[in-house]
Amino acid sequence: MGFFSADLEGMIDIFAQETLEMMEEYDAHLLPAAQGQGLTAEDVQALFRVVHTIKSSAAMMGLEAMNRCAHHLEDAMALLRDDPARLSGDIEQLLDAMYAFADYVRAEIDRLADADYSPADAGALEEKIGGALRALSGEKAQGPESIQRAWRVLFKPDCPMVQVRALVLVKQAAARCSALTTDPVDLEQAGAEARLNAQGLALWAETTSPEEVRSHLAASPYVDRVEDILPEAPAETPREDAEPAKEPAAPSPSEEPAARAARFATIPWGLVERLQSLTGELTTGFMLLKTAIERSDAAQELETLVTQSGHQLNELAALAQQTSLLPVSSVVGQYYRTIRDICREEGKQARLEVRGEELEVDRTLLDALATPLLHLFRNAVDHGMETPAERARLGKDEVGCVTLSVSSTGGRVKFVVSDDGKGMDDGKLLDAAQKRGLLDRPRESYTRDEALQLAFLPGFSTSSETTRYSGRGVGMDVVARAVEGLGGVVHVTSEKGQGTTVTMEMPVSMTSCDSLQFSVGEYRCLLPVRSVKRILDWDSAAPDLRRADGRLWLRQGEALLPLMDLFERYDAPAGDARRVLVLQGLRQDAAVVVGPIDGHLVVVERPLPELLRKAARRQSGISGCAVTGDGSLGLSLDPEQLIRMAAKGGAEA
Amino acid sequence: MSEMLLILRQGQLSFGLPAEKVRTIQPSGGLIHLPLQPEWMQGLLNYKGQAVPVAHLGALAGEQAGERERVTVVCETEKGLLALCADEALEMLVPEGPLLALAGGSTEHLLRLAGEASGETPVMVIDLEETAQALLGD
Repeated sequence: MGFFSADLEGMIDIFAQETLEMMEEYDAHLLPAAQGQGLTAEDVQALFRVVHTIKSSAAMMGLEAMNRCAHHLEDAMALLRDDPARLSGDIEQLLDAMYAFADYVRAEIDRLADADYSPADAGALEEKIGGALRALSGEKAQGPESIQRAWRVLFKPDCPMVQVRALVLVKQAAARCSALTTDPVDLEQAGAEARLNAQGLALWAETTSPEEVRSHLAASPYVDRVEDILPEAPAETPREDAEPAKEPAAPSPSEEPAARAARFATIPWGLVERLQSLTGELTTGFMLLKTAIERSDAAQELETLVTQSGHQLNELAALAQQTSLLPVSSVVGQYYRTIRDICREEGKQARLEVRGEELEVDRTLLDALATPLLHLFRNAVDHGMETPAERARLGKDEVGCVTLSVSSTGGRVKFVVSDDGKGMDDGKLLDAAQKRGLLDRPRESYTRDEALQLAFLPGFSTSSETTRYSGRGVGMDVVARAVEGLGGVVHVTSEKGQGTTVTMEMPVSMTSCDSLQFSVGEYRCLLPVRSVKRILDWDSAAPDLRRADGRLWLRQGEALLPLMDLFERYDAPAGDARRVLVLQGLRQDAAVVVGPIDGHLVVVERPLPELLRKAARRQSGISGCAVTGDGSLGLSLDPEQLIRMAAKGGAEA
Repeated sequence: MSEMLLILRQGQLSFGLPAEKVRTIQPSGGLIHLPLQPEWMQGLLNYKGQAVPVAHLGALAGEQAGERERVTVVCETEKGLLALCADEALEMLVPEGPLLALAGGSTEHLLRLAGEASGETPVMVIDLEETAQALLGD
């Protein structure tokens, strides 16, 4: 028999899902601390609610260790909530414990459904949280003293939903007070509205900033005026058993998920994928239907109906696309913490700045980039950043800066990670590559830019020392593989003493794409129109062809572009109507020889079956397939991969 | 307990596929070929908007791939859908008696068991997961 009873086994999924949602909120409220901005009273209040909820649900599931840890953290949050002055003290030890708690909870949830699950030992974590709690309670910060004040807030006669307005006011005031009591005590109770209209809202507060609270109350919408009343003599003493006003004011743990549920729904990812897939199938079916109608003498009415359906399908496709989009901000929280942790471990100081975090990106792409980004941030701080003393000596800000910029243009999304550290040493890179036999031509012929790109070779590392975070020589390789797997390119630039910038640029996945359709022998191929810079007849291109180093090159203006004959590459008999496509790449251009052009069409690209994916891209530059106008499949080619292959003389890249 | 098999004929050979893994049987055609693939990889089939790799049964067993295959059987594997083409689909049956393991030869990794079925013709029972794994391994 497993750890959970039969009754509780049925609860595992719900517990896991709700706890993970709670942990997302937990992370969101810890984010300012990871960014070095500390915690606000509002964060503490929210964190208190989260750990309280986890404490309760863990107890229900019989997860005693998780329950105890959450209980200790709840105590810590209560200390901070009751005495916000402590927030201005050193809370780093507590933050460490809180991050460790998050790791523990997530690890436990990952294993919950295992047949042999039993709770992991949490002794060290309990000790960590206990230590932080003791440090917090023994280190009461000497902030300004709380002062008792009381006010009566009178609402304007036309104030709509006065109870709701009062609840909002109390919630906002509670964030600025260490204690707050109100009259009416229970603002949600029947009859509260009549009392609020008749005598207003009375508040008794303990706060370090009474003027700020009063000003806030007075400036709130629909407040007619705020009167000072005697703090010691409430007009009507609240019930002794009443909760402090801030408790009802803040949404209870049970209320908040309900509010969230109204705005969000949890949809299994498989369903989202099926919705997207079905949308693609419908779009394809519609396109076939339209083609069939155009070929026959269909009635006008039928054509109108098809046009209408087309609009509806386009809308459906757009909606399906949106279901897979996530804002970048939803994943960056972990990176703030990564940088904080590395800095603490390695004695560095750095902050993360994120630009474009509001941008929405396909979830699949964000998932695929999670590990590469982690490697880049680790490298930036661990290898790239000088110690604070070194930075000071160099006249730099002691706190280094790592920046993530996300932008999107023309169907491509760009992630750029840069730092203002010491930069990369191309000499060291060349030394290391030479030592490993990775140079394919004389060392002297490498430009600085080419030397820097060596860092992306598998197993490459110049670090003489392996730290906890990096230096194992796998990071940059992982980055390159992941980005190329997404059909993108990665490039690094660096200036000694100035820092390093890694740019990853990829096509936005799962989008329809305006494609050029052409043949290469028996193969029907597709290339994004945006990647084709020019189409030349074979005859007109011939005078510009050059053969050098046993390879073909195409002269375009002053430039010589590598040229790859796809007939040769695909072992297909070359026909008469050959064309040359000049491809525009992110870093370089190239040209390919193809067969007749069959026009262009909008297609929904699908990945190749997993069974074929890896080899097909590497050997043939095929990244996917798409249904063409006559219902047959076409092969979607990856322009960047073709350019890489052309640059290598038509070999696999 | 023996599983029900769909028996396919390809040239002089008979093959058995686990019937519960068969998604559909359809006339061959509508394939697109892929460059630089081994002989047994016939190409891609558009199955309900999904691209499915099509393998030639005879070529998988070491025979030469022909041009006259008339049926394509789409099957489920843990790696995704996989289609196999053959001359014809013969029957569904539960083989009698123990199945014999094939040993050695180029087909060892593709064909799990052999047995007697459908008269005197030996039937090679295809392990779809092994087959898919072998394709992926390439």
